[in-house]
Amino acid sequence: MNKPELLLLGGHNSGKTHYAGQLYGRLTSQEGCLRLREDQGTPQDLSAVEGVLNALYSGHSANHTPRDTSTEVVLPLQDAQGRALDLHWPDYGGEQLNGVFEERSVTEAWRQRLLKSQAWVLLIRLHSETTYPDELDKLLNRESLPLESLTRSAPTASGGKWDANAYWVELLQLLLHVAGRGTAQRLRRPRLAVLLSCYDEIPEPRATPSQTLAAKLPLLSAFINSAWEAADVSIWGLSALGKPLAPTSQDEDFCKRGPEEQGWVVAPEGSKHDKDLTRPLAWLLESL
Amino acid sequence: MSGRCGNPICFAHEGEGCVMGEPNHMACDRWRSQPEDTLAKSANDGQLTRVPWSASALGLADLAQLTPRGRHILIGVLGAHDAGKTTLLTACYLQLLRGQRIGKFTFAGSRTLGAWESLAAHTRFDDPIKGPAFPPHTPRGTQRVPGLLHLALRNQQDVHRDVYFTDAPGEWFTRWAIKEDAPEAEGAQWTAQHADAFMVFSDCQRLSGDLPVQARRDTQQLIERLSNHVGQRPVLLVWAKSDHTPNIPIRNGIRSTLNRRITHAQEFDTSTQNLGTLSDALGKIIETAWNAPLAQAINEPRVSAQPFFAYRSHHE
Repeated sequence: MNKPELLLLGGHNSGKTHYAGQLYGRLTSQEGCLRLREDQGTPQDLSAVEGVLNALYSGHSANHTPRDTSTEVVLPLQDAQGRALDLHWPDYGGEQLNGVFEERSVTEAWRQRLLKSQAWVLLIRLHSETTYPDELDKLLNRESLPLESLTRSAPTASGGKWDANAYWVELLQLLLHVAGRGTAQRLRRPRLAVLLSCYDEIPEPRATPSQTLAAKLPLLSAFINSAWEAADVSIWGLSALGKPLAPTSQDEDFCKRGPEEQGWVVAPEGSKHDKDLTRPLAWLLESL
Repeated sequence: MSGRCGNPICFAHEGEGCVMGEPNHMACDRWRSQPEDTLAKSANDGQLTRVPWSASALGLADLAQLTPRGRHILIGVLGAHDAGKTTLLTACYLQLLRGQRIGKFTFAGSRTLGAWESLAAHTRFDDPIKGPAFPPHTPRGTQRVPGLLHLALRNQQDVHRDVYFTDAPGEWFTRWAIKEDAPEAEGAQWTAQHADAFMVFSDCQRLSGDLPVQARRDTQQLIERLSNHVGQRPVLLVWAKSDHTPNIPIRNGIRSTLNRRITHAQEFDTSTQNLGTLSDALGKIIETAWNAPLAQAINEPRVSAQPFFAYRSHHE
C-alpha cells in the first residue's frame, strides 16, 4: 500500500492546526475527494486534532500549538479511485519553522522528514506577511535630495526584518538543500501545494490564487514557478474556518450547524468556494 | 566552536554546513577537533544539519559550492566610488521584489539574499525623521576579494544560469586604473581576470559637476586599463545618473577612448528617474554574456600530407 508522507510547512499563526481539525472533519464526513477507509475504524491517535475539534464545536478558535509540540496523526485514506493510502499528518509549533530560518540549521527529526516526504504543503497567511512595496520609490526620492543631506543621514536597517519574499525563498532554499534537492533542474519531487491560508482575510483576491500570490509576494511566486515543474506545483486559496473566530467567541454557525459546514478552498483555476477541504491533498497524492 | 576543518574551502568551524555534505560536520574525515571538546560538542551540535552558505555576499571559496551545478556568468561591475554601482544592483533587486524581470530573465533563486536584503534595508524607513539613505558605501577592507552577489536566473527558453555580480569598493578600480599591480587593487585584478563580462560606470552627475575634466580622466583611465585585459569579453559602458547631462566634448572624450580601446563595447544610459533603464542595463549585459563561447576545440595542425605522418606529433 502507498504510504506517502506529507511535510506540512507553516509558520506561527498560519492556520495549520485549524486546517488539520477541519480536514479530519471532512474526511470523516465521507463526502470529499479523500475519505477515511471504513475498514480501519477511527485512527489510533487523534490527540493532534482533538483539541481543535473541541474548540470548533464550541464555536471558538483553537489554542496556539506550543512551540515544542511535534505530534503526528496517521489517517487511513482512500481516494476517488478507491486506492488505499496512509497519510502521515504532522503537527508542530509554527515557531520551529522560523527557527530553521533563524538558526540556518535543521534538527535531525526535521531532516528525516525532509528526506522522506514526497509532497510538501506550504501554508502562507498572506495578510500577515511583511513586505516593503514602496521602497523603490524611496530609492527614487533619495536621488532627488541634495547630496549633503544624504551623507548626513546615516543608513539604518529596518530592524533587520527581511521582506517576506526573501524570507520564504531563503527558507525553501534551506529546506530543499537539506532534502537533497537542487533547483538548477526543475523539481518534480517533492510535489508542492501552496495554500494561501485565511483567504477570507484578503481584501481583493485576484482571479486565481496564483495571481493573488504573485501580487503580494512576487519574488516567491517567481521562485516557485521557476524551481518546480508546472505540473508539480499548485496554488490554492484556503479558508479553513470560512470566517475569523476568536478564542472566546461562541459562533452560532459553528455551534449549531457544526464546523463541517464551514470553511472552503479556492482551486488553482480560480473556481468558486469549494467546501471540500481535502482537494489540495487529493491533488498532491494523485501521482505519488 | 572548537576545532576546525582541514578543507580550506569548508567553513564548518564558523557555523556553516559541512562542504562535503555531512549532516554532522564532526563526522567528516576532514574535521580536526580538539580532543577534549569532541564529546561535549557531539552531544550538543551533532543533531543539527547546517547549510553551506550564509546568505551574505559570497567569497571565492563559496563559489566552489555553486559553480558545479551548471553554467554561470560573472559580471564585473567597475566604476569609481559613488558612481552608482550599488544603486543599480539594489534597484534591480527591488524590482525583482516587485515582480519585475531583469531584462528578459526571471528570478530563480539566490544564495546571497541576506546581502541583497541588507542593501535594500537601507531604503526602508526606520526613523521617519532620518529619511531614506544611500545604500552603504562598500568600504575598502583588508580582504582583497570582491564580495559577490548571486542571482539564479532563467531565460525565456527556460535555460538556467547562475549569475554573479562583483560588489566591490570603487577605490579598488580607481587605484587599479592608476597602478595595475597596486596591493590595494588585487580584487580589481581578480575581477579583470575572471569576469565574463564588464559594466563600466561613468558618473554623469560628476561629469557635469565642478570638476568634469578630472571625472572624464578617471573614466578614461579605467577604460584604458580594462582594455589591456578585456580581449573579446563583452563590455557595457553605463552612463549612470543620466538625468544629469555632461557637456558634449566631455562625453565625446570618453566615447572616443572607448571606441578606440574597446571597439566591441556597447553603451547604455541609466537613471533612477526611469527605473526600467537600470534593470534593462543589467539585462543587456547578462544577455550578451549568456551564451559565452565554451572552450574552443583544439585543432592539431596538419604538418604533412603523407599518411605515414598521420600519427606523429607535430612537436617532434
